[in-house]
Amino acid sequence: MGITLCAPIISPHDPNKVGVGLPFAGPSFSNLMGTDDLGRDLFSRLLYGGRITIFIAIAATIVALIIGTLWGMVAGVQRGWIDEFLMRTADATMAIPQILFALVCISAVGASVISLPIVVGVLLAPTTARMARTAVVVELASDYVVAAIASGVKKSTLVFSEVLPNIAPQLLVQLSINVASAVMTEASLSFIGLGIQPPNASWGTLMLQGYAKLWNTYWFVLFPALAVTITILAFNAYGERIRVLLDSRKSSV
Amino acid sequence: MNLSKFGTNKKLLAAVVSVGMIFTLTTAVGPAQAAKTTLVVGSVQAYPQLNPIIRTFAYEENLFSLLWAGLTQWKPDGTVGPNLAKSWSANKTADKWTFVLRSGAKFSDGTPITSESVKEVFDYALLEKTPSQEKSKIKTITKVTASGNKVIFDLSSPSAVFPSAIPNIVIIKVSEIANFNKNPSTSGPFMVKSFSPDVSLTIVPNPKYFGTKPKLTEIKFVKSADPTAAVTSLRSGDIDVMYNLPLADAAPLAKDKKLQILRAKVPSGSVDWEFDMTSAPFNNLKVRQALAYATDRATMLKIAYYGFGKVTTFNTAVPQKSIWQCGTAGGLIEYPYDLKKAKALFAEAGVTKFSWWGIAGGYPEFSAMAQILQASLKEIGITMDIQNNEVGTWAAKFYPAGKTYPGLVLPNLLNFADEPAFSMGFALSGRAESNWNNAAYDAAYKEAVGTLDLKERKAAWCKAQRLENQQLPYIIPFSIDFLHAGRANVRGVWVEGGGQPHFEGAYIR
Repeated sequence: MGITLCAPIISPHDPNKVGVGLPFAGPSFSNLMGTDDLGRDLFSRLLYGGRITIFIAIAATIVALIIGTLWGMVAGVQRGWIDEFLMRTADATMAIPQILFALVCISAVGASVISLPIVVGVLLAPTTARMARTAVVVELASDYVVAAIASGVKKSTLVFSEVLPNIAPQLLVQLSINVASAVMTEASLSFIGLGIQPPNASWGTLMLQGYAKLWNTYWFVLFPALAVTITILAFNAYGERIRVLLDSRKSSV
Repeated sequence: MNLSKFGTNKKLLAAVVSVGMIFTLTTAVGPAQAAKTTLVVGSVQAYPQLNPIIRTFAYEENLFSLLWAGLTQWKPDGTVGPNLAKSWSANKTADKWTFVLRSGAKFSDGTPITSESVKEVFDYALLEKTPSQEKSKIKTITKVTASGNKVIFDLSSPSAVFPSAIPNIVIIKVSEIANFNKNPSTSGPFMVKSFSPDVSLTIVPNPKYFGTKPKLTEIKFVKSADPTAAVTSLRSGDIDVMYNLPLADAAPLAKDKKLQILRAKVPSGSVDWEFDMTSAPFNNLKVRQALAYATDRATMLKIAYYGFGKVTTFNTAVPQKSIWQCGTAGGLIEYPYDLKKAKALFAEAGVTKFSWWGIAGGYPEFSAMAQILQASLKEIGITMDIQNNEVGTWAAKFYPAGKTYPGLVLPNLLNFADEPAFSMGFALSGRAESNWNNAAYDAAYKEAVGTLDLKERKAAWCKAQRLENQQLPYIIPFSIDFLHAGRANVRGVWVEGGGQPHFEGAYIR
């Protein structure tokens, strides 16, 4: 992530400049990861592509976090038929294959840096909602909540002032998992050509281009695929680390 | 121990071993010999159905020359020759054609192919409810008459090219249509052994075929997951021929001595960019000219199509090397890559931006072309954003003709036989997706199609080409080759100008 953020400083070439090298040139000192069919520097495109992929992933995660947390909190606080309705809606949404749902949405609204995070975020919201609802239900059953309500504190005030901060660590774990899922979904959409539009590239679009030339230029697909894999692994490891930290804190309490 | 008995046992043992060895050798050699006469064709597509009259996908045309026979057929040089019809003639006005059938032709079930069988097929193809893509080529037929061994066609308007309009109207048993995918009676050199829609097809020689017997004992058509998987299968020898080779793979495969690239002698496919000529900005000729000058055809062909094609500087649907191309001698002007001219024309028209409406995923060549054009336009201050869409969304924007789509340039492919009647027919009023309704062009086209004399016909085609060249109803940057690949030991396969491979004479060395 840090490397992609520094792309304007590190990048040796303009990522969209055609003809900085010969088409399909292999890795060299001037083009560290070779060039694409238009002679553009792959290293520069990978760096800038990473910025787009990670921006979309983080923006989508924020969208999912806002929608999912509200969704889960309303269900957990209200309970009854509202809870049933909201959670069955989440189940139904999760039953539809993500990529199919995304494909339909993107076909309808078009692919852009604005639409992609919203679509991916909406896709990730149900899992966040499910997790938020469970955490809220557990928290509302705590002694301090029961005591606060008995002493006349409004439930809505309590939810935002006490419950939300207390479930934040669990949401943080979900957040890291969502970033990894968003990277994957964005890459999948771009891989089928419905992601970021040319001349800009994301890791998914670079993989799509590289896959079509697998026999000639294997490195074309290798570097973006590695970048996606490492990023997903990193976010998953980060989520796992937070979960372990939380578990150890709970058990020590 | 009885030695004499031991001796007998030894002879018996030797005999058993010998028989065993012979059996082993025979069974070992057997499948190898069978494999040499079985051709496996791989593609990312599979056949959804077998009825050739209602075929939807170009891939289905591969079966036409294998399972079916038409009155005429395409030859490798791009001309038409006899098939079920041994000869044909037209009246002086070219609006009545008579085809004489060869004698003794039969379907694979043994029933004779008669002039009545031929009439039934044409009547079926012409029915309004029959969704035939060939209908536009035969719509001038007003009456089909079966008379002895002759079939007579009456046409509503003269057509000097009628024999080349009908090779794809192949002869089927119309009575079998309801149950066609089970086991249709075929008229071509092969017949169906097994068929699983959208999965696989196996065909074997038709013993009742009237023509040259096939050398292969079986052809299997199998489906690959994607082009990369198909290339891998070809390299490993799992398939003998790969239909529709991705251009990116052509150059490295051509270097492999175990493989060969299969391509047409006279390629007649083209890339074209369409736009709506009834709305701004492309209703302005200057904008179309500017786009023609801003198109770096040579670079696009080299980068996007790996050089497999020919640049079309005259911007006509007739390929640059075709015998029908009129060129500068015929009064056509060239559109070289000239950004200065493009900039001036765009400025005169007051245009600074428009969009590219492409296809997502499946056509990387379109995206590469778009990015080259985008870079060229950027140099002269014109913004062209690229919007790649799912194929259904892409097509819905401009197809069928008559739709309005202002400010969009759409890439497409023209895939016709090397006969201007078909490629230039694409620009006729009501058919052109660019909504170019030009009466003068329609008249020139009609005149050319109705002229029997070849010299006079070419002059008429030049008249139509001049209009196409001056008015630019589309941008045709280059003609392209449609490539297939095969193992080097596969022989006798040839490719039509439009890209359809022919396996009827194939064999494995």
